[in-house]
Amino acid sequence: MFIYFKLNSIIIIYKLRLKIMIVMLIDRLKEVVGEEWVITGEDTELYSYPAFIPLKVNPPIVVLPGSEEEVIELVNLLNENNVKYLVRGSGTSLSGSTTPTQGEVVISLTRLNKIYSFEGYEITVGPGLANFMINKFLSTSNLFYAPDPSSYVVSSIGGNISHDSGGMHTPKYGTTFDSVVKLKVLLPDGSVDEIGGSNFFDPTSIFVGAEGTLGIILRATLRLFPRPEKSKTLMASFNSIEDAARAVINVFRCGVTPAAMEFLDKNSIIAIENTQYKANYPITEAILLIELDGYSENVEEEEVRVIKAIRESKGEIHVPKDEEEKNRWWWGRKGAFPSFAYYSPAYLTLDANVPRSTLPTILKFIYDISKKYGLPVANSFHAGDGTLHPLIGFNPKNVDETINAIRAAEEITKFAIKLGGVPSGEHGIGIEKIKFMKLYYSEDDLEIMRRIRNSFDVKGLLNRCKLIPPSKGEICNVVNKIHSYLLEGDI
Amino acid sequence: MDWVSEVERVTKVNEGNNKGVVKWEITVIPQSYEEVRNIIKIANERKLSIYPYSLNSHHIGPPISVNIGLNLSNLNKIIEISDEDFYVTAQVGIKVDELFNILKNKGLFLPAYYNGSLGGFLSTNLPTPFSSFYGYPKNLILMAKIITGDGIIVKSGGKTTKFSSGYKLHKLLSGMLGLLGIYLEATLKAYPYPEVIVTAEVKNINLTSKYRPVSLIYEREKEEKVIATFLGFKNAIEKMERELGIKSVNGFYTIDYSEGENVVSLHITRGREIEEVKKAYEYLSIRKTFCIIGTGYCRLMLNSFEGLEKLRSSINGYVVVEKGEYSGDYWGFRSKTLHRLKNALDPNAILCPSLYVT
Repeated sequence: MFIYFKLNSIIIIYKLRLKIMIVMLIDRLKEVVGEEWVITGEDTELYSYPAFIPLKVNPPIVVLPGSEEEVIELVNLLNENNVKYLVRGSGTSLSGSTTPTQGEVVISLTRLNKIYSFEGYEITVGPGLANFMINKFLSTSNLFYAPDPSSYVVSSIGGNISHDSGGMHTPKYGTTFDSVVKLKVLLPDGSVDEIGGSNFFDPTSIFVGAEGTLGIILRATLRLFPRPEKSKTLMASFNSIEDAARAVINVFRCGVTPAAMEFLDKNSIIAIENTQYKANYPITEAILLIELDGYSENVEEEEVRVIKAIRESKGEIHVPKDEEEKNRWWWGRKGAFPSFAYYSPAYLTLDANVPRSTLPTILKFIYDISKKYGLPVANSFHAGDGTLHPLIGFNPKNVDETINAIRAAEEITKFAIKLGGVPSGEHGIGIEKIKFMKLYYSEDDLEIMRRIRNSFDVKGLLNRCKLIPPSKGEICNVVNKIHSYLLEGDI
Repeated sequence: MDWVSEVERVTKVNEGNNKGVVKWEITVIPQSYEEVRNIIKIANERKLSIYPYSLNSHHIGPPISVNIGLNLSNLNKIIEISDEDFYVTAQVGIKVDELFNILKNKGLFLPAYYNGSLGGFLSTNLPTPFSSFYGYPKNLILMAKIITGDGIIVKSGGKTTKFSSGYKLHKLLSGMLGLLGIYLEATLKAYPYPEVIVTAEVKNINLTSKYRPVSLIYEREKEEKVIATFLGFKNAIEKMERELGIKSVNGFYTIDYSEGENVVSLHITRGREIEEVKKAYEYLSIRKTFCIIGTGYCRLMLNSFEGLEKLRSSINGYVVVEKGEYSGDYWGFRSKTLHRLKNALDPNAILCPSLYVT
């Protein structure tokens, strides 16, 4: 059992010291980035949480550097003064990996949003660039950037790398990991390392999914894929969840790797049909949206096989009558999360990843949990790669209901792990799922991760008390009852 | 007790190896992970060095000499194959070509082919005949069981296709040539086996072609040629052949990484392989070359290493000496990150000392 010191003397002293330090530092921070790029006071609330909304903590100060040199200078300054800090992009982390729970100074990298070069099948960009901007830049090229998390319009490349974000096209094109070629990283001691670009001794892998605990990504070189000649969308509707889940397996078994295969259950369909994302989906127990792509002749054969597999799984096939209808179907899928407002003012979304063969079992479990806790649940997820996204509704103004939603989420994540899944497929651990690390890993596994983190962040200043459960005696500031539950609640 | 006797108490000890570029004083062939752990513990206590291998057919880098050759070839079981979830878990001593064929018989496609062990495949991270589309070996690893330089067995990753639940040690170790830790077993991603895999010499085709080759290999010996591999359905391949006016053969390009005495590789911008390798011909005496287009990897079999440093200073990328006796730096790059990782994962530096100085 780890010991957390709540409001103990060490934390009080740190907080007092931090306040004094910030007053002393503020002019120097302004010198580095310019007065207009330093945020203090009430305005810091904008940076008090990312997309994980149950926990909000105002940072003491926010700085928005405009160049790599400024980031380096900032980190050196914070290091010299032993001030904790964390790095954030667009603030779309669903696991709370950028919530400043430890009183960290927040360094926002949104201004580092340049495209530096585009050569061959590679593009080099700054960490603050929104994912969407890459394909906008490539709109006249025959190449594209594959990772497309749901937040791709705003989420930044630095954040995508730090969470190993996935998206809809993972079955064929992989996650962000598979598109990272090289990184320029700022290590916590203020030194810069340019890594990658060789199959030998390439340590870029350690930064992908590290949730900003090992260093700061200053620049990333990304792999681009050739655009397919043809892309074909099919929709399959089902009268039972089990049939739809079984169809997912059968599509792969018929010899087809779809570019995307998305699952929407009835609750999601109803929500979407009642919002601006209305797609004219059939109101049925479940639908699968399937995208096939590649050389047109191969796509035609894949279509024949997929239709057969769907029909054998008791599904009905729908083919979009035109481009507009196809786009509306995908727009509806993209709107599944915001449409959940139809049921609830807020929601938690999970991202446990499970073997596809377990989908029928876990979906049944999720509906049972919804009944048990009396909370609305909808499922819209990446069935092609087994990433669950149950949305669990709750009222964020009600602390007990919030904790109840967290409990429901935990039961689902625990069951996913039991079925051979992992706590997070693409959102990261952050603070949301930190206690599941002890369930998924052995103490030896975690100790090695701590060793790695400590060999980078020797002073313990960079985004601590996230991702890896603290070691015995490690001090974590606990913000409130919700944070306490996230860290210590029963698993 | 001398250290050999101590090692003999935990595993069977054979004679060492005095020939070739890697030499070791004794060979140990562990039968279990526990034995591997005990050997490594002794090595740490006695300050002994270890070189892990299975077939020892693809040593990369400078010659090295160690105390213990850790032969993992008996750890060669297939642990699980899932034809529903499309993955395979196997121990590292299994041969990759055997694994490929076992999976093929179950309708699964491992987009990798390598004439060596699974451990070598993962540790060298050398590109495969399918890498233009499917990436490097590290892109196929979903999960691994590894042992650190100080003998801690850890799990990393998951058998699911997405994983964002902690540091990716399972991928980090790929390409590290055993420097940071040793793979014991790994779970690899598989795909449905395609109806047809064909290969043909092509002209005027690049990776952005509508036919979507899964690999394009530029080969130059006496003359230049480009060989493409396509996967798909029979009808589609026949139509492509008609449109391109080519005749393909069943199968794929096979890469023999054991070929060549003096071998260097270029690590350059993906998609710029042909342009960059042509520069190399200005500086080096090259017998044979191939590049896997889209991977940034070119392999050059040289008559001598003369001109190598000049190439290094003029090329946009890295030049690595993979094989041969070279008097200079084999790698051409250093990494502060790697130094930190070495300290964390092999604190007593017992694994492959002098292979790469971090």
